[in-house]
Amino acid sequence: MVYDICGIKLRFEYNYPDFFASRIKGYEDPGREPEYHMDVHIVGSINPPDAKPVLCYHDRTVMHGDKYEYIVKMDSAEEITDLIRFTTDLRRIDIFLVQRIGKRLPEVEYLLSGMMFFEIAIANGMIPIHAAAIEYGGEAILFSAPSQTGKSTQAELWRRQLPESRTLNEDKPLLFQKDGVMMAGGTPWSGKTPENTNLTAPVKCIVFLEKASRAELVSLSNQDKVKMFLRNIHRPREEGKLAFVLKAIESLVYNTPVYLFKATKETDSFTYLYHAIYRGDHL
Amino acid sequence: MKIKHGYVLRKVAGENIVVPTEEAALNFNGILTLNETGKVLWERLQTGASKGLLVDTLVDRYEVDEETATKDVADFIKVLKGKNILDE
Repeated sequence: MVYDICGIKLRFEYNYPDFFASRIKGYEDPGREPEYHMDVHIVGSINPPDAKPVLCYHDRTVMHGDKYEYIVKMDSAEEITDLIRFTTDLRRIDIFLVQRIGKRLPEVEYLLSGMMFFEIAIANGMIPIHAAAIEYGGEAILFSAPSQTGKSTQAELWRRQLPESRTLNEDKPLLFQKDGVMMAGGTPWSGKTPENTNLTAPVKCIVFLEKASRAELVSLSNQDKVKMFLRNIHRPREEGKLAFVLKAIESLVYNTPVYLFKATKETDSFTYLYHAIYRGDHL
Repeated sequence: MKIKHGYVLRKVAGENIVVPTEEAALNFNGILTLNETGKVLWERLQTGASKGLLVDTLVDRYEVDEETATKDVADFIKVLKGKNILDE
């Protein structure tokens, strides 16, 4: 099936509906000619690729071969449990998972395909940000923070108070420039929840969150904003891609309203922030 | 002393930011923000410099006394060593 995700035409074949059935249907675009191909294969075993290791991180090794690049994961017995093979331009991606992963196959399929999709997004000048993004009144509001800080809680408060609002993505929406406007868009890879919508909208503001017992908006210096973005944006390791991301962060700092919001779980948190964003209170 | 390979210094929104790339990102996943003095010292250390040279650089450029410059350089080096991003 071909999907159109924030303008990226991706042919993607997955094996398990566990995660994708409720997340990806809205992006189907069967008439389109795909620009990228990603297939997931379930196999009995995986042979080591004929390629040179160039980088090891956590439990994965990046390898370069003549035709493909690889990301390989081995278990404690040094058997490969998953392998991603891709062309340098990411146009062709194959993910191989060994059957013996068992119950975790659907989750690993979801995580690795998401990881590679976000690589495609970066290659297309888009930035994945760790955030829950909602659309309200034709604009996007992003709640960004590390895990367990309350992104989903704030998004849920807004959804409850403003039933006409929609969730773009509850984990990692994409940020990108279109005609000089910073946009946010949904993707099927929305973390633990299926909350996402095939929709893009101009960014109204980005709200970094901290847990608190009383709602309060704090103004941020440019230095603090840069730090917040670098903490919550998918930061590529390659210098060339990093330069692009830093440029985008600079544009966000200068051109997009960015706040630090000390948030509670209560409705007063919504009211406080809503009045700040739409009436200029507390700013 | 020299900054290890893989750390890049960039100006972002007027701020001097050091970000690790490639394998350096595995050693240190954070960022450093540098003031103007830190930037000057960092640039010296990218090509390699002794403590003495760093102190002289600050004295020459900022007209601070040697004692102050020595303390600033020591503090800066301590931070970099603490993050394991400096080769002796």
